[in-house]
Amino acid sequence: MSAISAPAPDAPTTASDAPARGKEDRPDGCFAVLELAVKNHPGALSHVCGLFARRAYNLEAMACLPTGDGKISRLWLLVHEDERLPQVIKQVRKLEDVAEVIDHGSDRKIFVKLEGVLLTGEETEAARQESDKLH
Amino acid sequence: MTAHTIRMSGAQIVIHLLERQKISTIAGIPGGANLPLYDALSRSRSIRHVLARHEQGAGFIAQGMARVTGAPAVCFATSGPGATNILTAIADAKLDSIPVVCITGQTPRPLIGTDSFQEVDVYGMSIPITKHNFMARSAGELLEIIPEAFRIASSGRPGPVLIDIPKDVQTEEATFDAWPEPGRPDAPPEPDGSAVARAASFINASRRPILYIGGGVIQAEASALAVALAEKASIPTAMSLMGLGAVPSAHPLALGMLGMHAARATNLALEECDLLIAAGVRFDDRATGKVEAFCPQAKIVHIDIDPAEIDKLKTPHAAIVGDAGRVFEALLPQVERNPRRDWLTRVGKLQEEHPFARNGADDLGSPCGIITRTAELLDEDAVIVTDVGQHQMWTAQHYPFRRPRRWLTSGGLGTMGFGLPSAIGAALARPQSQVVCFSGDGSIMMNIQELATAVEQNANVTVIVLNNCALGLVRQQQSLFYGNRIYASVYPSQVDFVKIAEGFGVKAYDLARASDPSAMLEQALKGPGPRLIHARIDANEQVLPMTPPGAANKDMIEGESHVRHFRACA
Ligand SMILES: Cc1ncc(C[n+]2csc(CCOP(=O)(O)OP(=O)(O)O)c2C)c(N)n1
Ligand SMILES: [Mg+2]
Repeated sequence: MSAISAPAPDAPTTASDAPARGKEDRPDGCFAVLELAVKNHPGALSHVCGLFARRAYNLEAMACLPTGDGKISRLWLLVHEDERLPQVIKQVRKLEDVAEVIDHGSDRKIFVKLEGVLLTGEETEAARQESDKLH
Repeated sequence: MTAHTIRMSGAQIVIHLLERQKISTIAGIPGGANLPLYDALSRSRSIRHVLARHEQGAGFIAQGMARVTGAPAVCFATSGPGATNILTAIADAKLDSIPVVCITGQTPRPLIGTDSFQEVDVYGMSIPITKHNFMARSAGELLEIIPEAFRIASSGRPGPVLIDIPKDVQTEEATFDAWPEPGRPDAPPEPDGSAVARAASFINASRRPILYIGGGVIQAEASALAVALAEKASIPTAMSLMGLGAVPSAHPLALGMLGMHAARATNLALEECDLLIAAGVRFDDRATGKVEAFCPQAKIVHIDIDPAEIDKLKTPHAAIVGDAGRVFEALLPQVERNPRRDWLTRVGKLQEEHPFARNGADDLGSPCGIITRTAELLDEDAVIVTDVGQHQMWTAQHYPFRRPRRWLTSGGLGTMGFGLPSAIGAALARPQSQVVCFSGDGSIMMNIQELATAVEQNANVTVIVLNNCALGLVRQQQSLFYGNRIYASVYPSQVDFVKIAEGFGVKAYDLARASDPSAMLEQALKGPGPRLIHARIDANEQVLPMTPPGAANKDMIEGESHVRHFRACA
């Protein structure tokens, strides 16, 4: 379940037609990054994604990696910040499979790196080290 | 090498853990994918199985047990159609926060994901309608999952938990050394002292407070404390549909139900209050009407065990996350005694100016009359159950509720078919109580097959069918809000409910054919075993007053302006 999914649905398919996204046309305050500690089993992501889907709250991007002994994964979600976000966060906290929710506000370092990979095809040094650790 | 002392199949582990949870009754229906569970259940000496006629019935039987006891109750279904059938009852439990543990059989592990016979993704389907769900992937895991399921179902804000168990997990053997502790509810959070102090200061400063209580107060067994708080500070108290029974309806401070079908005076008092103390409620739209216009002058104190309810629809001025009972206990010493004569006089005046119409209270041909007379014939230990429709709202309006956990109705989901099987569950859990289910001619048909279950269990249930030959509540909406274009809401054919009941072996009575309906009602409500009373009522009877959907509660309509010429049951 270490899937990494690209920004939906306006995501650029190739580097060449990629519009400049993020900081330029969307001020930082519009995004929020949530970091969740989630039990690593086949249904856990359904619980999280389903909760957002039921509330018509789009997940712009997500990244998920198992940690430690693999029992817990860390899941990063990039969402638009609107007035419904506090309620959604409260609902996420109620999920039994979610052990922790950290609200990183508009600090979306992790996704900026990923965007770099997607847009230029170039892995950053940090990302390479991280993926080496996993293999 | 450690010698494991216990060796058992997954199915045996489940049944043994249920016994350790002190489960005494399980409702369900067997099928291929849960036969190992049934085989293990057949050997249990402490659990009795109630064979329902439809899995939705089994789910509601479990709900009936859970609603009258407050403890989690269990139901079983097989994979595929068995599981999909039971989901409505589980969704209903979710919306009313009822602790139910539902165990479904599933296709064996190697076949999962192959579209095998009777395979549906019940795990996926049940995510949005359960508090939590599990898919057991090994027999050993059940030692954790079952106690966890009971802990989750009964902790904090209760709710249903579903456990899907593949057939080969039921037959797989596991070895282990010791049994886990039974799952118990977590200790509720300690109410925050400063929030309590703030709430108390609001109450003490308020001139026109109203207490608004709901199912959370019933769940917390906090009714007596709610009454104590209301009495100490002279606070008139309104209840949501789910909260009825928390404060006896004859109590001088009781305002009855609020919202769409409240007494007008109750909604008008809410309009004037300067402080709303909301406890164990979720500001449902049926209760608040147009939420922006609800209690426009009031500061709000919100008490709830579920932090996600706070600030969901109304932003409170003071919020206390906690068990309603413990919060009331913490508030009571800080709340000043206050007779509040002006406010109580004002509320009394509103009630005088807008008396609640009890049309036909003395007439056994009218819904109000039947409900009122039935109440006179029952003691306060009786459990009142309803289906969904006009009959449900009339019961909520006219039945003099006297105790908590004696009122069972499908509040959040509004599921027709809830009544009969929930009544059976209530009767199984409280054999000493009389259980009366007010149903409609539409709703009763949705789970009428459970009359067979009622007979087999000799359940002390009396079903009163208020027959208007119509989906009355739908017909009422068409009549009031769709230009009286009555469509698909009237039954052209007549069903003989007395004969049907008798066909099931249920004693049946027809009030319409009685020379003395009152004597017949009295006789029908006596004696053990299931009975059905058929009462023909006028299809033009409406539930009034009413807040039109989307309107503010102050703008209730009486409906008197409406042309009432359509006669369905001429
Ligand atoms: C399962 C289900 N289907 C449809 C509805 C919509 N509905 C609400 S009330 C009602 C009519 C109920 O008829 P009946 O049981 O005869 O009660 P009455 O209103 O006539 O008293 C209907 C169809 C519902 N609540 N539940
Ligand atoms: Mg009807």
